[in-house]
Amino acid sequence: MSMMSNSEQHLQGAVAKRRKVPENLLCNLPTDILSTILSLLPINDAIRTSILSRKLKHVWCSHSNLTFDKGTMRTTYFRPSTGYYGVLRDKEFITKVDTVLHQHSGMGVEHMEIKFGLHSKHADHIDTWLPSDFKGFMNLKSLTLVDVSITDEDVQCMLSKCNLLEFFEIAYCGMVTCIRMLRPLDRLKHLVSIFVKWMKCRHRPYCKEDGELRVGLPHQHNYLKSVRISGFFGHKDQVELALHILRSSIVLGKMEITPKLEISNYLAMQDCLYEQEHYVNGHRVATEFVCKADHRNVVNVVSVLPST
Amino acid sequence: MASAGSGDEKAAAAAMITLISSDNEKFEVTEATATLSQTIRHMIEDGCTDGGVPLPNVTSKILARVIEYCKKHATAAAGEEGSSSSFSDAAFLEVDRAFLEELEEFDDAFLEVDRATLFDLILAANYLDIKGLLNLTCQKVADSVKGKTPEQIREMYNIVNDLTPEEEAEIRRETQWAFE
Repeated sequence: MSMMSNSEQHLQGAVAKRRKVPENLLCNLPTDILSTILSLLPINDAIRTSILSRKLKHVWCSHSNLTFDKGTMRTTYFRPSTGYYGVLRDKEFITKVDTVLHQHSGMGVEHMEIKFGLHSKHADHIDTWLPSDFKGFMNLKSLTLVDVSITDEDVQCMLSKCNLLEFFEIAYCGMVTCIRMLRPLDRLKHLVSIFVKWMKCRHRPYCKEDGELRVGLPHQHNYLKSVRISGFFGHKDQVELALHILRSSIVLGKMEITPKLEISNYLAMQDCLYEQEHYVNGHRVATEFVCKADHRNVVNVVSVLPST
Repeated sequence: MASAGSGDEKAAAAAMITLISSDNEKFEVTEATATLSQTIRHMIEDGCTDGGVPLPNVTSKILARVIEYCKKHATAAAGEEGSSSSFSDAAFLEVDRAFLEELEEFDDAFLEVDRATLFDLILAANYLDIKGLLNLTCQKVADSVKGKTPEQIREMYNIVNDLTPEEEAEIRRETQWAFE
């Protein structure tokens, strides 16, 4: 008797255990939560879940955070046929992005990033990655252009659609000489500008003999709160830009000017490329011409200590 | 009378809401804590929280954890609002940073739960529409899957493969590189 009840208990325990084990927690989640979880994974990891079960087959297709780069597109991979590691060519990269976007539902994408060395010959193809009714980044809030071969006209065209832009950073865009806007960017709060072009043109620091500083009519910026200008070597155009921003931005709380070339989320360029005198000149010109016009005490000129 | 007066803002800030779990346990929380849930925020706005808010989808065990999260993060939200105007002030940024670190530690400790609890928290966060909690808990699941092979994930979560071999082969063919 007692043996039986023991085995009965044992059996019950086993049943309870067995019931607990096959609990399929992940697949029991509603699809929208599964989609939220997969969107927190890099796209390649998310795609791998398509093979888990029928329910998960298409969940990755509503991934909201698409980053296509060397990591997610597996640009270095092992080629069993040769026994060596292969490196992905631009064509293969494009083909991979194509297949992903082709299968993606096209809905709910909040963030899309493409980081790969592509050429202008691929431009037409890259255009197909945008929705067919694309009219510009009308809802874009933050834009960073780093090392892009982009012309003044293209920057102007791009910005003309971005009415909601709050953060704009432009750096190492050697072809850009000035940024004009057809309409004021009303929402712009933060502007970061990193100069590099002037290095190549052998400009010299501004002095009075170079003629009056031209500062255009104040195109009022109602929201611009913070500005950071780095790579300020004190050239005439740079002084003009700083003065223009200073006069036209009515709520500006902070303008930082540094002669040093630096960039957010990016490796700093090697210091040794730039001669010490650029730093000294930049600091001197900023103090002399920009600080003098700063009646609200918002400008901060960073002095760069000589590196040893 | 009292509810119409202009000096009532303080009283409103300290107003208490009663949340009732599926197993009928009552929890008293401040409005600031409760409104981290968009679902409850809407109920308050619609004025239908008198006599308590029944939450038939959430057990007392899970609700207690959810409230613990909301309490901590409600104080964080209040602190953030207070200091946002002086964003340039280095001292304030320092205080913010220390607080954010503390919050991160809290979140890490909060996630030290068994898997069943974690999934219950996800469902509760989704139902109550608490964005931060949903993101936090979903991230934990995402991290557990990251870098794993399909076989490893199936084993970890007891997923039964109900795809036919043909279907599976087709998926692998389409995005082969993701499986390499």
